[in-house]
Amino acid sequence: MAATLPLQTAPGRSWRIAFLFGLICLFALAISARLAYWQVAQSPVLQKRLAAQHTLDETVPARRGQILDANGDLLAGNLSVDYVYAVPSQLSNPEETAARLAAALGTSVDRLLGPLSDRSKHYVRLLGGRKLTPDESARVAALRLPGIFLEPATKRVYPEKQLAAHVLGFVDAESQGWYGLEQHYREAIGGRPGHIRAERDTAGNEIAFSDRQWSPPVDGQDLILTIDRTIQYIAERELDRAIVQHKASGGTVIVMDPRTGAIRAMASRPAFDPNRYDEFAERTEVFANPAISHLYEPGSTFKIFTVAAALNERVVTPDWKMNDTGVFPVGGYQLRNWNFRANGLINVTQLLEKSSNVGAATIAFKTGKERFYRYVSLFGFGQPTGIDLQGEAAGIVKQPGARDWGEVDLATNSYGQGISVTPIQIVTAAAAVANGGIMMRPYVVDRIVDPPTGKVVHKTRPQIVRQVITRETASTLLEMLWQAAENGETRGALVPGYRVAGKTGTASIPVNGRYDPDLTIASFVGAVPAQDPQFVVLVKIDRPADEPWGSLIAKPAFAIIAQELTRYLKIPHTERRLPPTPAATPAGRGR
Amino acid sequence: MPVAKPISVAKLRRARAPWVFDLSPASLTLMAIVLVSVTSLLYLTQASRVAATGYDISHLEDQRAHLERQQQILLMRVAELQSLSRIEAEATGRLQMVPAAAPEYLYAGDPPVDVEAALERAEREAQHLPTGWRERLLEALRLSPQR
Repeated sequence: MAATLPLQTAPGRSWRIAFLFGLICLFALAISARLAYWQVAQSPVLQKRLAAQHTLDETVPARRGQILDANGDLLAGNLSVDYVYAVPSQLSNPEETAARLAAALGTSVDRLLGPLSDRSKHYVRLLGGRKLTPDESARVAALRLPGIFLEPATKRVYPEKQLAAHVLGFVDAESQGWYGLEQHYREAIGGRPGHIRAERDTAGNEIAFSDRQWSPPVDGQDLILTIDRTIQYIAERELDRAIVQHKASGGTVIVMDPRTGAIRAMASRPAFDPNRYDEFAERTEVFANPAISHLYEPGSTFKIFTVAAALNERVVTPDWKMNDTGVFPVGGYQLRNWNFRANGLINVTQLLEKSSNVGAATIAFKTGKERFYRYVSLFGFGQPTGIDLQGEAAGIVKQPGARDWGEVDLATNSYGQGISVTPIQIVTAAAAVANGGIMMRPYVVDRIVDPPTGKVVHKTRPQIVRQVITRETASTLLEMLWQAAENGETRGALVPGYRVAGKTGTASIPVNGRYDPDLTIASFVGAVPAQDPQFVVLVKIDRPADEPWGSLIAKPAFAIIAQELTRYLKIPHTERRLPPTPAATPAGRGR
Repeated sequence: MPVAKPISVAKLRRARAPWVFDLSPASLTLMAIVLVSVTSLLYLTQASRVAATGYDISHLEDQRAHLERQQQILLMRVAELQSLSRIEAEATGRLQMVPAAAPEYLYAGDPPVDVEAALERAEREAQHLPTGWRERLLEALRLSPQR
């Protein structure tokens, strides 16, 4: 019988098993620790990465509202465009890619090669982030270059280019509206972006019928303006012509309906093309709208309001006479007429005809400083008109009682010097005279429309600001301004078949505290037809180089604009006697 | 209170459909496999159809986006072509047109007091119809030699 040996462990074996067991335990512990690290410590990061891989989580931009003129013609719209971007790690031959892309985009290879060769970046937008035109997008897509992709975006497009640029403003690359309507109505036309959260496939497309959280964007609303594209074009064309002809530095034309306050055209120079706003990065001052923000001394056009105040307060009548000696002494100064001449015995209508500074100062003193400045305020000077555009200035009016006010200010203010106004203030005040003394708030947006439904969400109702002068005073003043235009130095402004009530202005420009004798602002403001004005036009030309006078610079431009507007607006003739065309009329000289 | 005995209920059921209980385990297994297969096939068909529909929707959305983009481009092109500055440049440049001269207005006298009557008279004259009361009376009596 074989003896069974007791199971014995060889010496040294037990510790090897223990060592192995310990090693396994250690390994298991390491794995557990690593597992805990990934599952617990790194869990949020990993979950985020996972979600990013199969979750579509994007902001959906809202469609920006369009801007249309009074007739529904497009002034600002949207275009779907693309950014072009590269993933450098996917490019096998950056040089070849750069060459083919440069040919398609019409740019230099060097401009593209740098970003394409930069493998430190995962993603790089080419062309400095410029949006491609549809043609460029099509050419890039046709190349089918590996590592080159198109990223959809929206671009604001202004098909009329610089037409009404100051009124419209522009939209930057981040879809933010700046200046003009684009900024003032940013909320309404910008809309509200939406949001989508859904599952996506490996190609990045949304998986249909998957879990989906969809908050739709609210599209921006369309703005329908009071601006008429044709009137705007006429205004800009004549403004350009006057600036070129007289070598001026700039200017403004505003056309307003005095019965409602609706702005039919608002043009200023220098201007910009809002499609290419980025080219004006070095001189951003060009973006501000001079028609509402440029302060200037209006000169003799202001005499309209000096006379209006005196007539309304019954201080004078149209036939009230005074002796214009050519000099008005006040506060140690000798104020003179624009031509340094005496006009002799003149009535108030002749004061306007001859644009007498001495006459205006005499009437202002007769009216009295309190009453005069009350009317200055009633006509809206020194305060914004409230027009619905970004960046309106208030103007500067020194009031009696102010530290730097003197009696000489009353005299100079009466003929429009020493007081700073904006073009929109002058045209609004003149429109009040043309509208029976009732001042209307100027506005540019006629209505706001919800594009999907076509529902009008806001309609601007003409808003009366105040009755500045009585209807009788306004009627008398219009008659006087018409007579001044017929008989005086504003004869050249006449429009065949219509009465024109208007006034020229030639203002000196203060430079370093003194008026520069060589620099002027020439202007003309007029209403047509004088019996029942349908539109008021202000033409203002800055720093003309050949002639300084409003009657020679601004008046002919006014005449052509007014003549074309009467035809375009189909305003019936008011006059049986038809004067010759304005172009053939010799213009007078006057301030 | 009488209580239904479970065994009797089972017997009754067996009597109604005896073939079910006569099936062998192999047949039952086969049936179960077929059932699971059909269900799986149905599910897969549906899932595949959903995926295919999803791709169709995605494709149609792409198509719609493409067409919308084309429409935008065309609308913008129309707006650019209708631009007044372009029209004027085209007219004066390519078509060699010149701006119209200022119109000359002529005074044609005061309009008649009764515009309606004057228009009617002019119309009748143009149609060679009687305009005066005598001609009208003759016309009414059909005595006019011209008629």
